[in-house]
Amino acid sequence: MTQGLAIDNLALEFAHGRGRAAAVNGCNLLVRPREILGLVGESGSGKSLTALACLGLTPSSCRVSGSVRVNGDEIVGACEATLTNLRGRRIAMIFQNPMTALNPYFTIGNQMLGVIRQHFSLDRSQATQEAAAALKQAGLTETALNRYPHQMSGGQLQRAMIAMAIACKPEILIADEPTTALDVTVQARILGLLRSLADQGMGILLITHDLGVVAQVADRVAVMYSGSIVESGDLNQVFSATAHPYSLGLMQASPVMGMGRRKLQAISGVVPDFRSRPAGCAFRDRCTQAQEVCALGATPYTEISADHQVRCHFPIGKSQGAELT
Amino acid sequence: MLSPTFSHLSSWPARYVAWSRRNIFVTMCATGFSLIVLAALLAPFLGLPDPAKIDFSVKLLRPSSMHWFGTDALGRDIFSGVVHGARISLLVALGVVFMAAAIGIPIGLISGYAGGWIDTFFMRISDIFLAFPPLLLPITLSALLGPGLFNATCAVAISWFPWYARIIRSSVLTVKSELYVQSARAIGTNPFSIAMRHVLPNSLSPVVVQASLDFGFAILTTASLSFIGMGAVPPTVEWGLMVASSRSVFLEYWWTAMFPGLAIFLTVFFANVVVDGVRDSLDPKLRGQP
Repeated sequence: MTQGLAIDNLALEFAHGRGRAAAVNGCNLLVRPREILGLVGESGSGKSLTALACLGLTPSSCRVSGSVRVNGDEIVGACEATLTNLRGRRIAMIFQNPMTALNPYFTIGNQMLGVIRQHFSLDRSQATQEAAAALKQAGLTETALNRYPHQMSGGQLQRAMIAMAIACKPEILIADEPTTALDVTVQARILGLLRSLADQGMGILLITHDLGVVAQVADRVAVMYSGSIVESGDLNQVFSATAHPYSLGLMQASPVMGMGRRKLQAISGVVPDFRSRPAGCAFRDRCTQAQEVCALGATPYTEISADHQVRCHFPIGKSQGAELT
Repeated sequence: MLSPTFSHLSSWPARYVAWSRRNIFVTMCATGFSLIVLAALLAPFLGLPDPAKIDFSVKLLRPSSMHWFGTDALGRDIFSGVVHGARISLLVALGVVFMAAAIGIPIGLISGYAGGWIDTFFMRISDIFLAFPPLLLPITLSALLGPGLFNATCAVAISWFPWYARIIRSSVLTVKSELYVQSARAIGTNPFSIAMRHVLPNSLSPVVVQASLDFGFAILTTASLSFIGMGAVPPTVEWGLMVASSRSVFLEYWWTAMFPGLAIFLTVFFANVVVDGVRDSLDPKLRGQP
């Protein structure tokens, strides 16, 4: 049994015309305990959909295939009752916009108690203690229990949401752009909080489009492009020996503080719509290295060094056409 | 609660007075409505004559200091009838609105939340109810159930519930896709408590508005049913029934129809103005406007 969250060959397809179009295709990820995996990609690359699939929350029009396992328990195809038990207890998720992710009608405490008491047989005071402990762990005080969402700031709400997600001590936490709506100082604290949760044993899948955030807290990183993972591996490996032209493009497109004035390199073109993705490598129309072979069939996902995989025929830094398996 | 325009006033009575000055008409109607409610509550303790007591020796008397609103063809005191009738009318209106909401809300919630064939099933049933002309269905239903106030209340409630079901369904559909509902699912909240704790409370406000607007209309509809003999039966004292019993005499003895009719008119009117005023003052979009 693989420890942590194991995603194998996950494909998420939607009906399109007479056939189906895959929004996510061939997604392989592994989030180990005590580890933060940063999942990076442009808008529309399928990051959030992948996250929802990990909880079995994909829309009903979506056809899921492949496998998502949480410490060995299969999510794909599990029945709703099983999923309800797994969610929160084994795997939980925090969302991008904390302002709208909490029910405005109930206090934070009220919303937390409901979930805690559903997963554990605790009486009210024990559950309150659990909730208070989770809030404290997330950097809030017990007073937050009696607050309504509108009485709190964005940063506090994000903490409250994290507290709610960790209240049942899940093994895996999925954070879907948890800091996008927050300013940088609050962002730094939230990232610190995620880091400390990982250090205590949780496996965290951190979804973001901010490479800076990944560099700051992640142990490993995976780059997603148009529904598939194009490069993944150890943070240092991927950042220092970037192999996929798309990953390199992403890095060249992000500003670096203190590097003086330089023109940012934009990747030409746009992400292809998943309904009309070109055959072969999805990135080939925008790639400077593309050759004929890139248009032929699915590009293999190869290991170029220990804990560093790339989906490219011509990884940067390797001799042309070399494919190491 | 009240407009932020008055938020500089510290105490709530001061704020209320300021609000009343700007909404003088609503305040007047609210006062009138409160008087009617008060009369309804206190009717048995006012020392009025029994409104159902028949005494032919005093029939069809003009309004006087003895009988403020006169007496009807059976010698019943009309003032006492109007005051006691307020009890019935308000109670029936509350009953209609609550019953219609009690049937409509669960159906709308289940339809909107479950979707699929369940949704189709309930909504087509609602469509059947809504296909009848507004007063025809209550009349038919009361004819089936037999006369009597309770039956009339049920008849009106049954013919109105589809409105509530539809309103709640449409707001459930919106709320269902809110992020907090998804985030509740993501931490493993079971579907029942998502529906009850997250979806329902957040979908309720349009129904509350509709229910309060319907309050006046419910009085009118049950009075209409009583008028055509489908609602209250003697000796119950009900405004619609009072108007009905004056039919043969009111051309000469105007007070027999006028006072109960006026009671219906004023209650419905006050109720609608007050509900509108309160709704406007709670609506953030209309705040601060004259």
